[in-house]
Amino acid sequence: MTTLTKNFLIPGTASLVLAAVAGWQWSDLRVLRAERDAHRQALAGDSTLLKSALAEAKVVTDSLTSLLDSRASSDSAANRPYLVVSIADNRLWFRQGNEVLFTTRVATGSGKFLEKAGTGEQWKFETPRGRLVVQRKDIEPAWVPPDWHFEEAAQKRKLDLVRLEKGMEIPGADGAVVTISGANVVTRYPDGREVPFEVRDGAESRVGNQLIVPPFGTNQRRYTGVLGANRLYLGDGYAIHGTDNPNSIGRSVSHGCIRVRNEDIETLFSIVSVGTPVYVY
Amino acid sequence: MNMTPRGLLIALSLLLAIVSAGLVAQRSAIITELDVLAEASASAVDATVDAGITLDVDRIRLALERARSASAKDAVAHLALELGDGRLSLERGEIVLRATAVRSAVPRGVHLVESIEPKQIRLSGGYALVPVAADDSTEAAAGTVRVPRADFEAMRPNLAVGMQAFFF
Repeated sequence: MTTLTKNFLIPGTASLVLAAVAGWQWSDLRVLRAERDAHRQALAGDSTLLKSALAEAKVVTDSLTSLLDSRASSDSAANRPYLVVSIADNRLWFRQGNEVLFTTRVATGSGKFLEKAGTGEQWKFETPRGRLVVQRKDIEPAWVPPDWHFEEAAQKRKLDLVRLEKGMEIPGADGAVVTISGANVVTRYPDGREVPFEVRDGAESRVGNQLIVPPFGTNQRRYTGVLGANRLYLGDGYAIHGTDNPNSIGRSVSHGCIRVRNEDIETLFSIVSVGTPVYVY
Repeated sequence: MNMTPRGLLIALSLLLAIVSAGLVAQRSAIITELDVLAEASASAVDATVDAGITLDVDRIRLALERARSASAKDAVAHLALELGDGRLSLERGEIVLRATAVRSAVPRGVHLVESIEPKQIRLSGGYALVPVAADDSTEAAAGTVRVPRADFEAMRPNLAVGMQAFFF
């Protein structure tokens, strides 16, 4: 090996090679740095997007959770016991939430009309749809027939109607008169004897061809044993009650009240509280 | 210091070798960081997509629950149609008076009862409820809700013009 080679060529070549390598590395490093900066920027952007998406998702999720929680914890009407009556199905349900606590067949309003003689007015016998409330619970209720009952009875039996009032005397047979004595509609005979009328549904007081409409408050305007052992009063003359005509259950035959079997009204009386809503549809 | 040209070249070579080593180390660090950044970026994109999906799902659920709540707050009788379950109910407030399975081809929305006829209940927006046989299996035509006749007949007398029908 010559001195020139030993002293200059080898170290010089090595230096040149190393300088070239360092130069290439420097150039490569610049590309990598640019790539890294771009990635850093992209990640910062991704992170911002992520934060924004998470924040938005949280707002919606919180709203949803809050809505569901408020519903679950609310003392809603559906979570308290209520009665539902279907006129179309003639059926009653006692429910709480989605649970059916009791159900049975009922009779509801017939939907028929009755003319009020000589007035042009009429009654319609339908069970009212909507929301009613159990206002009162009665034991051994008596039925106080409304005017339509006498109108209907008179039309069935082809009789005239006469409204008996206090102090009024309706002449009967053999000098007797029909009048009011105390809380009774009585037949007063010429010898002073007074015999109270015995009435029941379908056998109302009559004199000749006149069917008597006893005034409210008399015993003859009060029928016992026709509504079963109990009644849940719903207001405006409507009620859920028992019946002395169990064959009518499951049909649309009532004058507007909701009839159930006598054993069912006893069950309902024991499980339904005053204030319970009744939804009739 | 008196250095020969050979010594200078060797020193230069050493210096360049050291610089190269430093550059290699930097390159290695940057490549490692690039891997980490790429992974973090991929995770962030995945998480963003997940959050977006969650957001969409929750938005739909929220819209449904809000419609359900609006329906439950309507104290008068109204109709509620759950499109997902194909369940039509006559409700009053939160109380479900009657519910039935139906076939429908209507979009979500709130409509008003416009007319009540024996053969159809017309709603705003051109939609209609029509009675069908109990064993009906015909797909609903666009804009209609096919309701079993017994349920249709039971619901109809309880409706009035102006009442709301919630489709959700």
